[in-house]
Amino acid sequence: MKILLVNEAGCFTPSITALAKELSRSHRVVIVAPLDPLRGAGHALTTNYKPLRAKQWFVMRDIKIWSVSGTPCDCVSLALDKLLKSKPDLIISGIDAQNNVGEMLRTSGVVSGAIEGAIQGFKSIALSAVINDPNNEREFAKVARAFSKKLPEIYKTMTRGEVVNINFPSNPKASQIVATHITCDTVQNKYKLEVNPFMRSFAWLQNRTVGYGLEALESRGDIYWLKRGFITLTPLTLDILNKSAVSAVENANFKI
Amino acid sequence: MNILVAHTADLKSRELAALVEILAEKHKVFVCGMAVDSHQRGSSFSSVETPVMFERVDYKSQLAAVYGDTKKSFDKFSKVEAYEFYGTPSDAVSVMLSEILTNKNKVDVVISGINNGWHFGTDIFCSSNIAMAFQAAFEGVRGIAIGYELKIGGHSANEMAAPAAFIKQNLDKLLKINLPPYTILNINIPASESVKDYKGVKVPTIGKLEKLSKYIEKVDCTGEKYYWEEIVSREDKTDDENSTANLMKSGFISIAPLTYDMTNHKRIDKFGAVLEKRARKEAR
Repeated sequence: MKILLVNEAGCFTPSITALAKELSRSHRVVIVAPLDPLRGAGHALTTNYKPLRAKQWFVMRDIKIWSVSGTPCDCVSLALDKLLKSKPDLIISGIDAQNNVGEMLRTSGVVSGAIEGAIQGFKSIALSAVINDPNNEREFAKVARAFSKKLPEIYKTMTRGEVVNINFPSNPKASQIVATHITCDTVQNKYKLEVNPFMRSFAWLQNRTVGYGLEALESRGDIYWLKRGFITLTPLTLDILNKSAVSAVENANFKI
Repeated sequence: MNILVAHTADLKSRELAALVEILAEKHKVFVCGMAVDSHQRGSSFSSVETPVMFERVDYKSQLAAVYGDTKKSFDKFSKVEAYEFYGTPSDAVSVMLSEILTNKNKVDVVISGINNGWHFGTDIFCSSNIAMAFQAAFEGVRGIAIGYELKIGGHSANEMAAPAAFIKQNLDKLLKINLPPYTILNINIPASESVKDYKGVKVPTIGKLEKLSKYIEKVDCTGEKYYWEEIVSREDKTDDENSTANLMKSGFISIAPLTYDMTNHKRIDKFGAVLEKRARKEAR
């Protein structure tokens, strides 16, 4: 089948080339990814401020590579509209070198790239793993191999416009895969407040403490399983209307 | 009560001033705005990569300089504490909540808006305004995002009277709604001259969650191609009268509780069964 690959770390990083090489053994693969590495891109779009540029690179045999001057979400929608000659059967976003579970899904460009794929109506997979050295292609290749073995079943189960978020723990070979839900928990960000040489104040993120409260772990979501060495698969939906809260809003008796 | 008003556009916006004005009558209001308009930034976090510059701004003088001849009429804004950020909107809210608004300044609610433009359908994923409300929810504070009908160039103070009046009348009710955690309120308000003209408040359906982005291809002076995303018509073509687009057309205010939990709970079992079958096959 035809697969569109996107990521957040850049179109030439081992994270995406390892995956592309593995998948190109049995599929047609096109990479469309940011030229500059991004972090925490979330679902940001670029063309509100500046136009996008795209450039094709001829550096790998069998695999087409496009770089786009934007975010993962820009890459996906520009690829689908302009860069690809035919529509892909599947969009894969990753491999992200850190897990995207719990609250991290929001700020992750990798997960948002897959969500953008689903918005455009395609089957999309976000893939993340625990990688110790993001420059080591072999680490990514190991994850890619384990993933490609499970891909046919997952692809068959997916419906049109569905997103699944897959996370690999540090040792993928021994792991089993489990379908689970997102662990929601509070976040406490810690910033360093300082003044630069021009006497202008700034804040710089020092660490993110994700609650991982007892309640969150007891709910047996993605964080729970990942910590126990399982590969997690979370089916996502775009329908984020909280149905359980609808009646509370309806009964609020707003005054006009 | 302490309120943080977060805004995706700059601090000079009329939409922001209208909201701050009515809130500052009774409450202590903090404002965080962006130095540069930062729409469609989603939940992106620039402070991972770069420091987020910010500064305390004299909000009253700034508004007076832009809109007024005398400083007198802007006295209502004199107690408002405003900050201007260079970064992404989620950064701004997070820095405000975790570093600036601590101890006695802890806020009870974060209201992001009033945005010049609605957010519904697939826009809820890339909207900065929604992202700011979610950031609040994640830090344990109620998040409310408000969007008003788009007007290129911004609204005048008179045009903002109706949405501001609605928020003023219903702020207590909005805060009293018993919301599950990680859930925000997404409020969309159609343009109107007076708050009395609104037909009522409805919870919308989520609407159409699919769109095909289109890009306009152009060529620059050196012959290289570049692309702009085309504005896709927001007209919701469904017959669903409770979709936000149709509610806006018929003069209702829409309030949607949106959750962060994107899990498709119905599909977990299906995937679970498939994966288990596969594991058994491998074991054999």
